[in-house]
Amino acid sequence: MPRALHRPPAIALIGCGAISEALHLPGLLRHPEVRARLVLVDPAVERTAELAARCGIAEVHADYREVLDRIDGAVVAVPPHLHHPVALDCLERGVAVLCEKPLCEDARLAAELVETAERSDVALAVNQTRRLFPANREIRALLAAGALGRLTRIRYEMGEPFEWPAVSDSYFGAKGSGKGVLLDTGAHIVDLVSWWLGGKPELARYRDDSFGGTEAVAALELEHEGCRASIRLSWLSKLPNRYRIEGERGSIEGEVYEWSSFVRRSSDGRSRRVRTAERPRGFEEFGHRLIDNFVEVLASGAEPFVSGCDVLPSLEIIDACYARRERFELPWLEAEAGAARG
Amino acid sequence: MASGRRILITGAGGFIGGRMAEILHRADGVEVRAGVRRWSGAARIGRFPIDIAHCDILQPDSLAKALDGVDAVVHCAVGDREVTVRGTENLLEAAQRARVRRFVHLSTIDVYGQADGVFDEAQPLAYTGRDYGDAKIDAEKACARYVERGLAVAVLRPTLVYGPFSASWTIEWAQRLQSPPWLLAEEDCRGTCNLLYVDDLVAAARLALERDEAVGEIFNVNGPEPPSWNEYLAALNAALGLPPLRPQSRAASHASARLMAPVRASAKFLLAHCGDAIKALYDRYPLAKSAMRFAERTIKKTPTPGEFGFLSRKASFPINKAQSRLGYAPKFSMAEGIALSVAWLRHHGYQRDGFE
Repeated sequence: MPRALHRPPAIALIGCGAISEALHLPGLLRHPEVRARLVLVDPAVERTAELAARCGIAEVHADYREVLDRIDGAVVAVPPHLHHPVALDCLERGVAVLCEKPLCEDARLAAELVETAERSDVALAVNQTRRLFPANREIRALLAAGALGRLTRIRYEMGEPFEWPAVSDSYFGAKGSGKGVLLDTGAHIVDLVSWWLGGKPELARYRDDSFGGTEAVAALELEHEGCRASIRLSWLSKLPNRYRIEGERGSIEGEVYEWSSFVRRSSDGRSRRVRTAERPRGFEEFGHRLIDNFVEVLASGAEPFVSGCDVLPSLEIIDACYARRERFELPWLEAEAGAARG
Repeated sequence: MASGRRILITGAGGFIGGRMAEILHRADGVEVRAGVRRWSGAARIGRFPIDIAHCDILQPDSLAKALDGVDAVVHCAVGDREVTVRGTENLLEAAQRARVRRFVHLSTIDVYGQADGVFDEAQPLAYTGRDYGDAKIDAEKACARYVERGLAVAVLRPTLVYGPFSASWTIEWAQRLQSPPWLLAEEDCRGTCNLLYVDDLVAAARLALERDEAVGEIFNVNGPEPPSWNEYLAALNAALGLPPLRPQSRAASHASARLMAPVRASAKFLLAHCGDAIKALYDRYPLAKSAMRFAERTIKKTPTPGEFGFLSRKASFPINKAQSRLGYAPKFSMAEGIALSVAWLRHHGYQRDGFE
């Protein structure tokens, strides 16, 4: 269990881009005692100073290293390829971390963070928002209780045209991690499906559409105790955005953005919509819960919702995908390009 | 011209610019610089190790940087009138300053207007009051001014470009065909469907980059065998594995268009002025979500009153000039283009497969 401060923590928000403004900052501002000592850190100092002024925050820094000896916790929301160096610096200095997903670009780096957190006796938490969705939590409880019997099949599809307001080219090509939709969206979905399955599945097959750059469509086939799980992810088109979990005694299905309900079918074909007791009114509520938890982790030594250790299996699966990647058959990409070379 | 050269493609985050970048990147001896207005538009071309540059044609500062070291430009970026006209003027000016040696401008057959007839490159241009075609006429005029100033510009006038990522002629029609009932009448779809598979347009652009005969000239670019709209829609429908179309009566089709017109206008107004409130309703209330999805599907599958004239228009756009001067020869038959398009639709989840 992480150590407790028994006082309001001093927190730095490192990286003040789109996700911080939408999710982390509103969560932090709800805690007056945290707000009073909150520090914003971002190399875009001018923009960040404006943000700080709007929120009544006094302290802004361009470099997180300037504040490490004065803070108890850091919310790390820098571009993904910087998660590891920034979080490592924090943890080595005894600063607890709540890191955006993906924790790291590969499992080896993530394991180094986990070990460092243990050595420094501080918490390492990860924002895996989908594990907070009440529907997903209820499904996890149902599956763990054997409500569907032995699981046989899971399908999960999630895709939208990429619209994230990226302010640099670090998402694409070789300039960032060189990893695309699998690491970005897959960090959520591979983690969620593994969590539902109750153990780390084996990778059966992985395909994507990378031609040396960042993949934009990816398909995984996973196996766990006789259950085949298929995950399809896309940055290029809107997919059905649904999931279905089938077992010997029925099935569960739902929409990926529907966080407080799903449909449960029994094996005789009867179906009913299950509405969870908790019904968050907007996505921002998950930011509140996440930050509330992190403040509790710091102040009273509570366990984080999702720890660095929890996400290691999904990062290992993602590593295996990249190591064993095959390319989809994409005849429309080959048709004229072949002629151009010929 | 194309070999051993660096080529800037504007609008590389879009349908045609994206395909232009993919093909030229994979051609021997060409270094592509893919110009995107927003980084979020780079997901498709980011799959290739392509040099991606910020290139907003309304921001001359970004153009100087994007054109640094560039030998040729293929101008695919398009937008509202401001983007299409002033943006093209900005790009032409920046290209001339950067001493670019070839500039291929993608225009459209809409510059000929909307009448029936045969339209070769000698036909007069016709303003119609429609933003897209009118703006493209003015962009072509800007190209002509820079030809006089010594810039080596070639203008291509493609017909209806379809294929993977084509929202207008591939995705939307596939979605309508998959959303019964079919609301168009056979008599309304006898017009010419001047289909051009996107890879044939890229081939024409490559010829315009390479051939000196292209400089200062304008070329129609069309596919090999313009079908009727009935033929195209039936072939796409069959390739999607759907039951044969059951066309509506003409009276019912026109009545549905008239009935839906105020609904369409109201939805457009509400989305433009109350988008956030609508999204909140959609997110929070399942009934509102179902109603909005139903309305969206119904609007999408119902013809617009303006569509009837378009689908019955008998117009052809000969490509003799491109054939004789550039050696252009379209390779993709409608059947091949549709087969590739449907494979792409399936891969991207546009073809329903029962998981729903």
